[in-house]
Amino acid sequence: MKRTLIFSLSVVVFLMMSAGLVLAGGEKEKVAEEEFVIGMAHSHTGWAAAFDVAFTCAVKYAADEINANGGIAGKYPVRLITGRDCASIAAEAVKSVDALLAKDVDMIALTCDSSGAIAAGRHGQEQGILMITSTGSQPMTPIRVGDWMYASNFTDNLMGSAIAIYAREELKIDTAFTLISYDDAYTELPKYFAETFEKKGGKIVGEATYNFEQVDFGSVVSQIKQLPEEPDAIMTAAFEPDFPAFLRQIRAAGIKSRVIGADALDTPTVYSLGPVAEGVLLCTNRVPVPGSEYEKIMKGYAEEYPEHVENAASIVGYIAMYLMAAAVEKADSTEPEKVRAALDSLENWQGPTGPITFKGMKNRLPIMPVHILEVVNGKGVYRKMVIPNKEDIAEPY
Amino acid sequence: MTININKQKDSRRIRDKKPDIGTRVGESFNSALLLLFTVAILTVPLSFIGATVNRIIILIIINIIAVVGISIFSGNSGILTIGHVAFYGIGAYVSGLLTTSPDIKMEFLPNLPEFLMNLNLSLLPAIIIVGIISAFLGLLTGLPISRLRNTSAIIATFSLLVISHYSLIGAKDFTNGNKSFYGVDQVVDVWTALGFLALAIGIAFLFKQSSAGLQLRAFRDDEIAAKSMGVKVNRRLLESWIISATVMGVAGALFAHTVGAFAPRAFYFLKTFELIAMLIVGGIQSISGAVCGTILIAVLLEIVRNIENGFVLFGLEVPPLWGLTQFCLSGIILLVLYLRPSGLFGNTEITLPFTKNLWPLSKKKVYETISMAPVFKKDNIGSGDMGKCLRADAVTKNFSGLQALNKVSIEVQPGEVVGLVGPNGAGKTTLINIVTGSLVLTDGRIFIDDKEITSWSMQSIALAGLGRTFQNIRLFKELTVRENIMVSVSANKDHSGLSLEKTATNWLVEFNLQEYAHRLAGTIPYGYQRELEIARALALRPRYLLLDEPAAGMNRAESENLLKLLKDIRTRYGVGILIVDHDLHLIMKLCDRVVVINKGEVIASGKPDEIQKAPQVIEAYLGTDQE
Repeated sequence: MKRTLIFSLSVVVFLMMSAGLVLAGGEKEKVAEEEFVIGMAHSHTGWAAAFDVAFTCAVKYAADEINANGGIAGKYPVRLITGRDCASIAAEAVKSVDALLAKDVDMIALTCDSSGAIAAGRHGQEQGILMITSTGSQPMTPIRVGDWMYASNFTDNLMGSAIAIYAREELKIDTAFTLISYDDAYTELPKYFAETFEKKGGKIVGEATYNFEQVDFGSVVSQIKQLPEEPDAIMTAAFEPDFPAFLRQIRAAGIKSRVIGADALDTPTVYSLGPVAEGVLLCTNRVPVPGSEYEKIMKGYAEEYPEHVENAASIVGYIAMYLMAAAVEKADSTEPEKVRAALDSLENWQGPTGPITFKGMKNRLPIMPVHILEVVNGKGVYRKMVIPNKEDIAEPY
Repeated sequence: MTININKQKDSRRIRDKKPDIGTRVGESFNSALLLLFTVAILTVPLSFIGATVNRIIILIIINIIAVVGISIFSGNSGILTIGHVAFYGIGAYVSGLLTTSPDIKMEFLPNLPEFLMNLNLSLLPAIIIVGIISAFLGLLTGLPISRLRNTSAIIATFSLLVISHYSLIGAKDFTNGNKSFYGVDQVVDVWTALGFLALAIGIAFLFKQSSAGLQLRAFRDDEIAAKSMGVKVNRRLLESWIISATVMGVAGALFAHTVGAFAPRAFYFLKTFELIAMLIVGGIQSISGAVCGTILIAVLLEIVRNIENGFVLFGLEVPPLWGLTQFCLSGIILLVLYLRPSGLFGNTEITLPFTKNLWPLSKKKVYETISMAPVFKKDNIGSGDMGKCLRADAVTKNFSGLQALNKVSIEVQPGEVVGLVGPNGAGKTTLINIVTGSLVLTDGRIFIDDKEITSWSMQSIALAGLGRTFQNIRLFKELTVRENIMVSVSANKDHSGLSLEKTATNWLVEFNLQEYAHRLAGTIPYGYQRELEIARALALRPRYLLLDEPAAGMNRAESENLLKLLKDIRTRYGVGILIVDHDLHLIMKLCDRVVVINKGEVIASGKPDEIQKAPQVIEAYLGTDQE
């Protein structure tokens, strides 16, 4: 009994001390008036880390550049506060944002995990804090959170529409077959493609669905083979490991339709697939063109973060930081209300990979450039920058 | 006739001191109150500091509820479940569907049936519905799982987790699939969470100390012994599974109303790992362990999460160490399993001396009723009713071609002691196992009184009136001496109007074991363990008793004491006894009749002095001259 009592009391004392330590981490920090403080609520573990980590590195890289030049507009230095790991889990994202809110940040960049971004974003919304989606491309995330959240990456509806326009106008593709997975919102992108594609005079000749990690796409192959005519293109937002499996199986079946994918295909794995990947079209934020602004940025970035230089999330982070800096500069203030108003009025802001416009856009989803690459000889060869007209962009749902 | 077995016992064991035996409810109430007080004192003051800490505190309390929920099944049954997060997830989604405003549901669940779309309940009714649904799902899933044991059971619970995960993803019209379910009102505050924690802890203790919980803990220690004491094991497993599922469902609902948005991956491996780690570190068999283990792990994880993004220590900048949380979690499990495999609390519950009598019932000491000796009917003794006997009729048992028993018949009358002897390998234990339902016979029939019990389950045979002891003692070693008796008493359900504790204590007094009432059964001296096993079998109120080598390992003095004890039992309780033993001195002095079997066949039967002289018996034991 005595031992149990002593043990219990020890546990209690230990826990009280621990709780004190936790609280110490939650205290408000004194923030200088002129600083623009960005809270970084990202996943450093779990599936979302693959995108979030590169994004945070690039934001830091850009912030260092800005600060080296005296801060935003020479007077607002940027300070980043790295929040606790969102761990690709909604509950952890909420805790991370809660902790950042307690530190009086001016803005929060959220994890690309949509459930975490929505759960945590709604807390930020209640507090009236400016937020961005980081690399998240789901258009519904800012809509579901509210008027304090902005997309900082091209959204799926914009991307789907852009590649549809490219397919119709540049490649003169008339018929397309779409492959959709309802396992995640990201893989529903072909629906946006289909909407714009048909609006532009194309014809969707069939649609199939798949589940993540399906492995066998035999039924989809049969469905395509049974079409009266082979479609000009097959559009899917599938990614690893589904995309390579699907690609190999349609090519093995003799289907020669051009395959059009989304941004998740811009990975070394896809480029290393060999002949089956030849001609695959994909979207990206990267502009791998010698002499481009993008290449210049990445040259410097590679010196600090070589492991993330090929990751498209890096340029998204870099652009997002400068985009926010532009809003602060335009507002000439770090007050969230003013920065938000400035962001709403941004029109044709020239980012390193193209112009970005929030002005006149519904739901805080910007029009920004979508870059099309084609896989040629195992490399992503730059084809074109597409910026859809506002009226050509499919409505998010 | 009231022969007190106490009087024939070793005088060293008799103490003037009255046994300090509180009631189960009182003890549990003290522990539950202390646990709740500990959680409240650690959490409530912190919750006022700010929204960040407040939410962390609420989530920790919800984790405690979940871990307590798992411990209701795993702690009592000893079967680790890795599927309970399924109920947690279902609870979250169901409560979300019930409470989220129709406008928001219309946004992301347009195909929801109209009645669900229009529902907009408040938290409490939603949680009641979640509890009912979880219990129903617990019943459906528990029916097959309660029939499984060991690895099969664990794999089945794992399958449940996987099935529920993919079901949540697949039921897109109800869950939004892999996408977020959002817009759930975040209405859970610390007091609400603490209220449900009090409920969860209360339920956990009530179940643990209930007859069902006690029987399940007996199963955890020894399934065969539990069945032999009449415990309906599968039913107990099912009950605990359902209760456990219900608590988990409610915890999930609270989680949903704390976080506000979630996706199916929130209710999968990571959450499972986290909750199991908390349970294992605290001690799977202890509710106190579940609570304190959760607090310990949760606080440690919070600390680590706050420092893994880098910190400065004495001017030294420590770089970010992402993933340190998972590393620490795994490390803690390994460390605890290595240093203290049963967890920090083992199977103990925390109590404080000054809280011991807080519960009014705990003041009513059980020893006050000890003088109320139980009434043992002797209507079976010498009844002369030919139908009343334990009878094995032409029992045959083959093991893949090896005939262990060949048409063996044996009969035990009420109040009669029959010895079953024979050389090693003769088939004695096989016969005992067939009669008690441990083995299925190949041919033949078994009767208890007028009732045929051939191929009945062990627990049904026990409840039909057959108690037994084992060749190798099979006590419930993680239960106290008194609880061992209580298992039989609870299965028997005939307490003559007394509570379980009182009836069990009376049995202990009868066997002069009350001094050890609170000791774990595995820790008392060997001879007393043998006696406890007999007392436990008798507490089942059997009409017949099978004793499998009760004198094994005893010295001459202990054997003499056992002889006296068994004579008293026969005289006092009127039970018919079938005893197997190699101690021929004991057999010859105790038995009215002796049956000798060799090579699976009865070779002699009669009074002890006749058997001793029978040439076929001498031959079986000593061999022929030629041999």
